[in-house]
Amino acid sequence: MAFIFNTENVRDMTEEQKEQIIAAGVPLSLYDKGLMELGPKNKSALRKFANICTAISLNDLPIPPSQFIEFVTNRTTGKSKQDFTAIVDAKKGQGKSWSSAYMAGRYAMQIAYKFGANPRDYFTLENCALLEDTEGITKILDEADKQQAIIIDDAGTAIGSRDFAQEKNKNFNKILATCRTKRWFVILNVPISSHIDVQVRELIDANIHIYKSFHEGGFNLLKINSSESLFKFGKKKVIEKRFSFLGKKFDFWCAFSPDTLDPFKGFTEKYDKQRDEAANRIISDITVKEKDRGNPMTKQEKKRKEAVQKHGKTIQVMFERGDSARKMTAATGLTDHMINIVKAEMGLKDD
Amino acid sequence: MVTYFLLNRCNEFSRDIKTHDNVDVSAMTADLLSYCPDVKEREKMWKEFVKRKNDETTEGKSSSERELNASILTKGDFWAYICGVLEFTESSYGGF
Repeated sequence: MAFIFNTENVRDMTEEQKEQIIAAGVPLSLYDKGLMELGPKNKSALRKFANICTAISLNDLPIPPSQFIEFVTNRTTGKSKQDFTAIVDAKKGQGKSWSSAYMAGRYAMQIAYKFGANPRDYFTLENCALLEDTEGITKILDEADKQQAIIIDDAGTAIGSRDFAQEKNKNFNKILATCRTKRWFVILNVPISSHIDVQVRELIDANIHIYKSFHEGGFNLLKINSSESLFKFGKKKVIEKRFSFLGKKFDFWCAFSPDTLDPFKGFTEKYDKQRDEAANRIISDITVKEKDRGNPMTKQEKKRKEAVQKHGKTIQVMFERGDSARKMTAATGLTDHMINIVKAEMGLKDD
Repeated sequence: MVTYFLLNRCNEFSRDIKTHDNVDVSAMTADLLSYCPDVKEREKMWKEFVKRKNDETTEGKSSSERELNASILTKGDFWAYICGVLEFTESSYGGF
């Protein structure tokens, strides 16, 4: 469990912590502003950064301040009522869920530090929509308080680009376009960002790519770009720009496991369990749908089946009691014709 | 185009300083620095050149040798400035 610094509490770093950092070969200057100078922009820069992150992870060193998280926090708590939405994309198994959870966790800790509250007030497992459909996501959004971190895992399930004109996508777009005053930090996970609805893609503030996974070292290296719209000759173009802080353009960002954050210890285990359950649920739902697709029923057949399921027992009881067809009609609301069909389906024959 | 011109200018400077014995090194340096588009940066480099040229702590060097060395080092500064402005050697930064 590592101590988490921000640009304010880093001034209170103890001598013991300083010695620990120096002994691990990590430059102390990194902790001043959360900025790691990596020399010329080439392949060795990535290697240098990975070595530093490995040293921090393996030696349980305090985690340096994060300019990005503080930027997001300032935005969701600032005077101008803004929120922050990001897409995290990476191939399956590269660690986009964990990286998202780490960012959400750090955001919650930073906001809790600012307001003197509990980090778990701003992010819990309940804020994660795991393979949910649009209804599930909108339910989570409906119940979420202000300034929450929300993760929508595998967003392609709910707001896939192939369902672009469907009512569910339109509703989600409406929420995302108007939820600014809720001041959320929304993270959408998807293997490739083009898999989600284009309107959602245009509304986001940042694109986060998992550049390289270091599962053994316990961290991922990310590229975080701001998403900006340019208007030229009446045409709109969305471009990505590296985030700049302290007058420097940041090339790489490090995301550790969410378990390194004290308030979110054991998060990954619970998350994986819940995700497995969600995956099983979605697989069985799709299996049923596929089965139905293989044996298509006509509208009439569906109606009959529903009538038998809903009123079958009532009709059987009334039939055995010798009640008239008029009484059955009054009790069930079905027509005479439909009652006869239900009777036939259930094998009830008049003597 | 500008990059090519500046590169060519630096190349000519090096060639002239090596091949010609009786050249006014200070004038050549001033000529090179005159192509620097940033006035403040130009003055800074010129001051540095003058300081190096008059640095008498360098033992065993004659004034002309000091002038030559100062001139070559100033060309290095100019080149570093061009690289910085044109982002030939962009630095990389990481965050957490």
